[in-house]
Amino acid sequence: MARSLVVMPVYNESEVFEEVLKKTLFSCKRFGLDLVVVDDGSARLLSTFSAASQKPIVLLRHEVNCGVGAAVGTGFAYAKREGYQRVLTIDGDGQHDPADLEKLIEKLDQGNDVVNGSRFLSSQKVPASRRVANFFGNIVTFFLSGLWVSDSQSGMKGFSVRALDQLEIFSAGYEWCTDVFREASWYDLKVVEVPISVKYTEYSMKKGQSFAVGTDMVMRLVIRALMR
Amino acid sequence: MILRSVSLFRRGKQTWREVLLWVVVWGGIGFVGVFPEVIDMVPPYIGIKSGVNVLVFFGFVVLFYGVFRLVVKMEALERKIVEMSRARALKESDADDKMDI
Repeated sequence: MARSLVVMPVYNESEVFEEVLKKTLFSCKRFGLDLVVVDDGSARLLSTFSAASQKPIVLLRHEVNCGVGAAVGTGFAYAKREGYQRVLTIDGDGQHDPADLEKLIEKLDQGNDVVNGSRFLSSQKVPASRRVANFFGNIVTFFLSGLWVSDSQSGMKGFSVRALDQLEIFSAGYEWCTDVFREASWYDLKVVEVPISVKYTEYSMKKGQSFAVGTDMVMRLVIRALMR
Repeated sequence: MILRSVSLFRRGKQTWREVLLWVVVWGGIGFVGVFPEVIDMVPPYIGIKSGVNVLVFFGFVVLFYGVFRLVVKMEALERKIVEMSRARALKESDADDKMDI
C-alpha cells in the first residue's frame, strides 16, 4: 500500500484544534495514514502533543503567516522529503469530515492523479454566499485550466505520486486551489471529483474567504498566468 | 525634485541612473509646462487627436506599468518569505516527532 500523508494547514484554529485533530487522527488510524499539521504562523502556539491520542504529532510551523497555499506547499515538501507516495489535504477548521478521506484514497487507487473533494456533488446545506463565490471560482478555474470542476475552492484534495512529483504549489494564498488545476491540466494529470460532506458552523463561516480575498485571488492568478 | 535627486545622489543615496531618470521626467514636465504648445506637435504622428490626450494616455501607460512592476516585486518578495519560512519549518521538524498512531 502506498504511503500516504494527510496535510492539515491551520491558522489560529486553537478554538477547535483539539476536536478536529481527534477526529482526523481517528480516521488516519483507520485508513493507515500519517498526519502532518502545518501551523501557518498562528498567534497562539499549538501543542506538538495530542491530548486526544496521547502521542506526539508532526507539527511544522511557519514563523510568519504566509497563507494556506504556502502551508500546503510546506506539507508537500515534507512529504517529498520523507518519501510519501500520496498527499491528502484537509482543512483545519473542522468543516470537513475526515471519514471522506477514504473516498479520495479509493479514487487514487483507481489510477487518478488529482482527486477533488466536492461539496456540491451531493445535496447539502451550503450557504448561498459560498455557492456564488465558488461558482465564480469555478469560472476562473475553467478559464485558466480548461477544466470544469464543481468545487474549485475545496480544501480537501488527494494527490498521487505523479502529481506530487510534478505539481509545484507556487501560490501562497487561497488561490492554490485554482492554481493546482491549472498545473494539473498543464502536466496532463487525470483529475476527478468525489462528493464529500461539509459542516458549516459559525466558526468555519468566519474563517472563509471574503469578497476582498476573492478579488485579490483573481488578480494574482491572472497576473501569474500572464507572467508564465 | 531634480535638486532633491541631485542632493540624494551627492549623499550616495541614489545612483546616477536614478538621477538621470528624474532629470528626464521632471525636466520634461517642466519643459511642457513652459512650452505647452510642444505637445500639440506629437498627436499627428501617433493618431491621437489632441496633445492633452497624449499626456493622459501615456500617463495611464506609465502608471499601469508601475503597478505591474510593483505586483511582480511583491510576488517575488512573498515567494522569498515563504521559502525562508518553509526551509526553517522543515529544518525544525524533528525526525523523532513522527507520529505513531
